[in-house]
Amino acid sequence: MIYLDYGATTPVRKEVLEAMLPYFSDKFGNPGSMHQKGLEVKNALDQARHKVAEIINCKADEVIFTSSGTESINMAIKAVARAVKARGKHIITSAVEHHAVLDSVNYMKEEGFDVTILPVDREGLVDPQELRKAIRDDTILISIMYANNEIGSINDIRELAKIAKEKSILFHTDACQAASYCDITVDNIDMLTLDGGKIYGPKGVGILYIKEGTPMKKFLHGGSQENNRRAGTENVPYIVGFAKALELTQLDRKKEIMRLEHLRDKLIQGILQTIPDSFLNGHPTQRLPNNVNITILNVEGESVLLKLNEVGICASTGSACNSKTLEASHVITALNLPYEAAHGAIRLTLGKQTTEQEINKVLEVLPSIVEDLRKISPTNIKKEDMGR
Amino acid sequence: MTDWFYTDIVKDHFFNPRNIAKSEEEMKAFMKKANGHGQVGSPACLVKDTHIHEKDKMEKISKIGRGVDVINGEGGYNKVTETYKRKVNEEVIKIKNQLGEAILTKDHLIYVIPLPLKDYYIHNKAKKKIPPTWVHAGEVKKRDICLYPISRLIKDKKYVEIPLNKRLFDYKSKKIPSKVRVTPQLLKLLGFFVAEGSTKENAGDICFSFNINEESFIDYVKRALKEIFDLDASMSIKREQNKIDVLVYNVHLARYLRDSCGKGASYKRVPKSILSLRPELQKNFIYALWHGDGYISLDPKKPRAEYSTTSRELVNQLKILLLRQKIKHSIYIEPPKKVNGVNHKQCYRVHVGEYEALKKMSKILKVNFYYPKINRKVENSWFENNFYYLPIKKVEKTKYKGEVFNLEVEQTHTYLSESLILHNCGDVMDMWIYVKDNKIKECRWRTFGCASAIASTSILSEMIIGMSIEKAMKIRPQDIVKGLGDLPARKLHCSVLGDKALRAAIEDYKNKK
Repeated sequence: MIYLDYGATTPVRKEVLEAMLPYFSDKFGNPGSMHQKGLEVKNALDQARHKVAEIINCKADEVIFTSSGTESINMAIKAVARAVKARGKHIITSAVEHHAVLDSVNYMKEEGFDVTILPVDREGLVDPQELRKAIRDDTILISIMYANNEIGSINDIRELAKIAKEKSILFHTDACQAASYCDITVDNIDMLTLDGGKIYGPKGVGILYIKEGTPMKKFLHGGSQENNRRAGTENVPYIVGFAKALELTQLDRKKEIMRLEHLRDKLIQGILQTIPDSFLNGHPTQRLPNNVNITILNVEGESVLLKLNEVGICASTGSACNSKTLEASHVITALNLPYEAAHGAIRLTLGKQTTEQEINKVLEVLPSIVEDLRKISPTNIKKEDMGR
Repeated sequence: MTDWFYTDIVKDHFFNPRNIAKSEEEMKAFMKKANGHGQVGSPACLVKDTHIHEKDKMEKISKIGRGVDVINGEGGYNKVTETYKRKVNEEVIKIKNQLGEAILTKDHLIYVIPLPLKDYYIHNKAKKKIPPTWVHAGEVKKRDICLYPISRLIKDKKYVEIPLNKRLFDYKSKKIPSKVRVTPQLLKLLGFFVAEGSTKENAGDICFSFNINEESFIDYVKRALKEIFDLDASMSIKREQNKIDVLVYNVHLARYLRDSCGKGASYKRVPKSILSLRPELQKNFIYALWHGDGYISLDPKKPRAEYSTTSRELVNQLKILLLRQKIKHSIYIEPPKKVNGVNHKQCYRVHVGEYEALKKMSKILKVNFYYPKINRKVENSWFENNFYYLPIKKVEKTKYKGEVFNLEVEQTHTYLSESLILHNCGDVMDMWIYVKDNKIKECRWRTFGCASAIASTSILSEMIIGMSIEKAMKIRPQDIVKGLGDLPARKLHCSVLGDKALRAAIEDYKNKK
């Protein structure tokens, strides 16, 4: 089995699992309890919080543990926008955000907020000038992703955050995909989302960093956990696992980036050279070291996926046929590419266990899969028709 | 491999598609040998005067270009990514329903519920249970049920903006607010203007002409002008015509009304910002529009509400507004005529006659509804899940020589004429058959698509070998799905197109013979 869908989720590292295990049974206490059982767990929780805070360079109190990246994003947008709506009701985001962001801001429209969705350039990046132009007097919140989950393009998040800072507008970034490979210290950023399932930690846990003093309306009501910002007994084993996973991403980051970039570029070059009428989606260099997203014209992504699956390769696609709503990837179509480009978009995301042999295997089987499907395809769209 | 998304039969056909050409040479050889070829998604299918719903106006299909937003089959909108045209000289199909008519080539796909040829279904609610599907225009029958989407574009604007550019030599016009709140009063005022109002070109004269006995409306308009814009209107009574004109002068307002409501009776339209308001608010606009230019009569002999206009744009927008209120109605075209020596232009008439619809209409128009409930006839049109279901009244074949057009629409691949949901030409499939002694001996195909598209075409190609062409003509999507074991519901409509390509190939064979 060759797993090339690390962008969807990653396996839990052995060290992470080991760190988590005691907190299921031996150290099962409730961190809110005033007894030995509770205190030992509370210490672990505090340690985890401090560890995360140290890595992203913030105060421990500024970290809220949540159930997922999706929850963090919902909180950053809904809970914060509601708290500052007296100042204005305008939110800015970009066209290639994760659905958690896009659907949340759309939902806020129902509460009377106005939303500007910034276009992106051909490489999927937000132009800081466009952001400047979109800012209005009543803009209260900007949410732009650090690195894109589908095409891997990495935004100049420091520059974007600086613009927001100048205008005193709250800035949130979804850094779920960026966490393992980019600098995630928070600096000018007011809010930042991370997810456990993307950094070799457990699924079902995430964080929202929220700068001290940022107003927010409580979202989940109940106890006064997380500094009275999120009720619910802390999911201690998962939080411990998250902190451990985040710590490990920092240890061998540089080496891993080098290794993956080499494999990524080999895969990209290999596919583009052997498969005619294919092109890379996203930025050629300013992209995640583990992301390959290539459009192969005249074939349909789901068909390619199933054929890859048959030879033991796991990948993903932006094709409409593969989505429950039968809608093509909003990310690929936002690159000013026609619908057909999303139809044939294949995403391969590399990770820790990916080896050179695996890349070679993909390069060996993919061209013939495409050739087979093209034989029975009546269309003949050329790369040039797409302006690529 | 463990659990699979598709059945084993789908999987088998996807990985080992039957009846495909192994090489380009083999394909070419078979194309020579084949005596029938059919295609689904062949471009260019509608005659050039077909009016299509753009996002906020009507446009002839021949004038729609790339990048334009058109309303799709679900009531949202998508961009046109490509346009096609070609010349034809062939038989085309004219399809008529209560909302209008469309002329299209036989192979164009439209979204309908095809009714089986059994009376049982036609007189029974059972037809509601048949799922809608894409059917070639050439195969649509009278009484099949077409679907028409209810607009889903809701953008509740709080204000309308009135541009206040300075004009030379205009000393009379008062400054009016540049931002006006969207209130029931404003909507009614605009409704009255669309029905009864006019402006003078390049000037500030605005006139609402009412019948002499419509005092309450006259007062209403005067009051609204005063309260919203602080403008004082004067009246001019024309006794011989039984008319009263409400007159007001303001360049800014006149320009706004001209730009947003159209100038001249034939170009009147509903202001864009009103089309996407909440249905509840839109009632105010309908109230004024209908009282201005339409009528309602609850005479038990022939109860009805009617509205007529010479503006094609307006009638289609009124359709959108009424469908949002779930009011059943029909639209007729009255050809130009001469009455008492006066020329009347072609006019469009909206008719509301059904019990429930009249009841709703009376409520909107604030008229007492005393019409007793009568025995209901068989319900042949209905609202469900954001669609209006209505039967086809007439299918006619006619000769057509000239240009035909088609659009390719992003994502949903559908667009909307005045009366039908149309499929664009996106999905492409080719089928070649070799027929001998009335039987299909061999076939080859090509298809673009996902696993279910490939598998469904493959299994179809296997089913038809050795089959008589009459029998092959009768294969329906349900037969293919059955053969495959099953398909996920969401895949049904988009991926089973092989039967259409096959029928087109058989037609081609018959024509060549």
